[in-house]
Amino acid sequence: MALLETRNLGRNFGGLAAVSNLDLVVDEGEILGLIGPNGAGKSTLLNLVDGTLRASKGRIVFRDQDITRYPPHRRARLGIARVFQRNALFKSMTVLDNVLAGSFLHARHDPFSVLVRSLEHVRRQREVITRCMDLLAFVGLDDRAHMMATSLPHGSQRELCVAVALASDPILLLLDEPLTGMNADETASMINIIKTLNREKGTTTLVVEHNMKAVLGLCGRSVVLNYGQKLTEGTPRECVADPAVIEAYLGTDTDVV
Amino acid sequence: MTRAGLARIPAKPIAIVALIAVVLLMPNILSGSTYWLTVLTLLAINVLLVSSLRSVTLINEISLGHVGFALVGAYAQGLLMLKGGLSFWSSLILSGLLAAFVAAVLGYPFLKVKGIYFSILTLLTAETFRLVAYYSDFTGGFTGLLGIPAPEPMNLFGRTVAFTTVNTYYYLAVGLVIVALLILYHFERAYVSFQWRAIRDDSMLAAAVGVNVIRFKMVNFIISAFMAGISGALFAAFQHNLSPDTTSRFGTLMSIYILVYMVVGGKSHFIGPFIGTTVLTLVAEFTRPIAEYQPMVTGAIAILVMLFMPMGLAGLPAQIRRWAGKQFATRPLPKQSGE
Amino acid sequence: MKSLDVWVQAIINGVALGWLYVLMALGMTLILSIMGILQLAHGEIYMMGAFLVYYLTRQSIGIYPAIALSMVVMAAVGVILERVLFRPRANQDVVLTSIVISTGLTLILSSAAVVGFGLYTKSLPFLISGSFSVAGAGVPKDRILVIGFSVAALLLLYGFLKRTRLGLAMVASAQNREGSFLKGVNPNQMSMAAMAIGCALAALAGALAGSILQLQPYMGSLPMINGLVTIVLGGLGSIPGAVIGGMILGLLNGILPVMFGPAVAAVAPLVIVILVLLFRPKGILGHD
Repeated sequence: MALLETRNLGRNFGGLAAVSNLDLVVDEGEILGLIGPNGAGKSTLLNLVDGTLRASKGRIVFRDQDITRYPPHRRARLGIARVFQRNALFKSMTVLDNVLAGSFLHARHDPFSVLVRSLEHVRRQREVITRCMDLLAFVGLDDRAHMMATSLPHGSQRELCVAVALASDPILLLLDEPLTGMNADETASMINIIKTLNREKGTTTLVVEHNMKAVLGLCGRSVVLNYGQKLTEGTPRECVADPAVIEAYLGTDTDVV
Repeated sequence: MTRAGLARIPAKPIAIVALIAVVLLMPNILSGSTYWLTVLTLLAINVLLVSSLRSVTLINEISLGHVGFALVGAYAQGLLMLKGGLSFWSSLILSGLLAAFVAAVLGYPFLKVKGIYFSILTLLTAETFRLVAYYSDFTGGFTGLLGIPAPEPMNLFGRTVAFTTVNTYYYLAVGLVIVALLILYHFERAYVSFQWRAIRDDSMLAAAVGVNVIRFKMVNFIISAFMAGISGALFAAFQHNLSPDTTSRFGTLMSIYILVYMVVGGKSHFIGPFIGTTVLTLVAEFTRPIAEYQPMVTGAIAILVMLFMPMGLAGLPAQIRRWAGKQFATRPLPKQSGE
Repeated sequence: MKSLDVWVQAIINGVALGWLYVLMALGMTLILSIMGILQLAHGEIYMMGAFLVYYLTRQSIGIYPAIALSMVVMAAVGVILERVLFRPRANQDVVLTSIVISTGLTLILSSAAVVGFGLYTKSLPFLISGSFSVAGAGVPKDRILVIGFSVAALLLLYGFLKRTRLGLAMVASAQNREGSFLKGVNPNQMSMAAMAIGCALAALAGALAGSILQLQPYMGSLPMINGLVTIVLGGLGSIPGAVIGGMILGLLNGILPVMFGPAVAAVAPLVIVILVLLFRPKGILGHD
């Protein structure tokens, strides 16, 4: 069952088409890998899906709803969560507060989201706190819940970003290069988090990643982009063996496998 | 990276009460000196304008066109009283609302563009308003709006108080300004709320977790414009004459001055605009014998503050504390390893 | 129907003014793209360039040498300002800081001019007197000369940016500050060069303006706004854009008063720019 569909999606910057004629389908419950050489338009595609960028043409449909014109916060409320390529965190808040922000502000449960609420008020909601602490335990950060988010090392910060995204109980999770800058342990930990999430909650996940070994192990299906267009799709193994894909990667520094 | 403080909730409410008491007793302290009361009345009006400018910095934007909202408020007040025959009080509210309405209309497209473009947009828009006032007969053309009446006499505690003199207008203006500042302050305390903190920390992430960032920014912008409009309306009823000239209160020169007042006082503190406006107004008064040099002095102060005290005068205590801390540390702080 | 004479005057005036805006815009766009700051006191540099020429010509220096000398002096002043005021410091909001510092500078320079020269308007000696006759209309020669000098300055700048090592480094730095820094370009040197060139061009514009218009201490604020409008129209960071933007603005300012009167002429360019900023903030050719 298609959870997300893009139809003839395109986005131009000046005269340059970063993405064009893109027909993509993300099925419910799968982990889809988005791969391709640098500059292929993978991040642009994520920006189009989460609403950071407006599409120049084409449509985006999420659960049979045309969300092409929706701003980011509205898509977030529908259940699309994004983990950015940079470590986007709320700098003045602790680890726990960041996750609280991710859950509370989501307001799928609260139609009056414009009401201003203080941090103290939120902290008093016992159930919310428990839920967020559980999330932190899931990513392995519960022992550092009261440290400032910015004091964490890079790998832990990325895990926190994932926890923040998960705090809103998303239906579709968009991960933008989650493994960048991680050592072997952190990579294994993150892959485990994503896999467990998919297995236990059935969260549909769209992953942009350069680490091919990870993609092979993680994704059930992958789509290859080149010059903003879909080159091919299939299982990761098929894609990696495809001569057209290998040629697209030749001349770049990314190892195909 | 220094963390810009939000409304520093004063641990000294006594100081605030004392300050308000001094302000209210000023006419007695100055034995009714008309000249100084005029200066102080204008000072109060300017403090409101600069404070409204400052509240826009809370959404990480710099408005270079707040005089435009003051212009809208001032001319609205003048026209409503002169040509509409409305009372001072109804005109006041309507003028503020008109300025807020303009902000509501312009805010949505303006706030969507990148920071520096927003600043340029506000600058050009304020200048456009001034030119429209300058060339339009409805607003009195280049001579401006003349003869705006004073507020009607009020019946207070059995006595009729007329507002035609500076003594009485001082109380009215200062009283209203204090009320307006309290309202601004109240809204600012809401900024410690979750949504505002999220927007300030990382507005892109805030949007990604479901905060309607533009709507919040609009609320801030509209309230700020309302207050700027009120300051303009108070000015109109006080000065009785409005000029749309380029060197007037509504030209780019004034935009420069209020920006300088804000920065010298310290944009991170609620009390900053008050400090900056007061200090620089006093400087201007005391350099009156050498009036041609006054802009030079003000400009030099602005540059020096920006280079050496970027937190402004209100940030001085914190800066001294930090400097003292560095001087008296006996050994380097232990290195914080990440994990 | 207005006579041909009026139209020709309007167009020539517009083009001449437009080229002055171009000179201002070139400086402002170089400074903006290389240093990343809005130099709001650029109008005061223009004004000082004009007043310096006034001073020099009163010392019996010929007008052309005076203009050249003024350009050199203002370039040096620009370098000093960059070194003292506009060097980036850590922990700073560059946009706000540069705006406040340059507005402070505006106050200082304009009041210095009032103190030094008084408020009354002054004039410079003529560049050249007399006029051509084009299709029966009188075209003042000095306007043509202003256009000529401006075009010459533009061509010199263009040659400098495309042919010399320093110029190429500046172009690279304008397009990609971090990238060129990694390639060994010295950002301080770039900033000093940008200020020097920008101020020289502003001084030239001021001197030329002073010779066809009049001098007064506040003459710089309108050209600064017009320079800002020009670079927004043409696109921040684009030199051809600055030229196109300047021409458009100049022609608007020349022709609109004739067609619609001063009110529309004053307001229309601003409204146009506001619309441009809202719908196409990059301007005509911008890429920043």
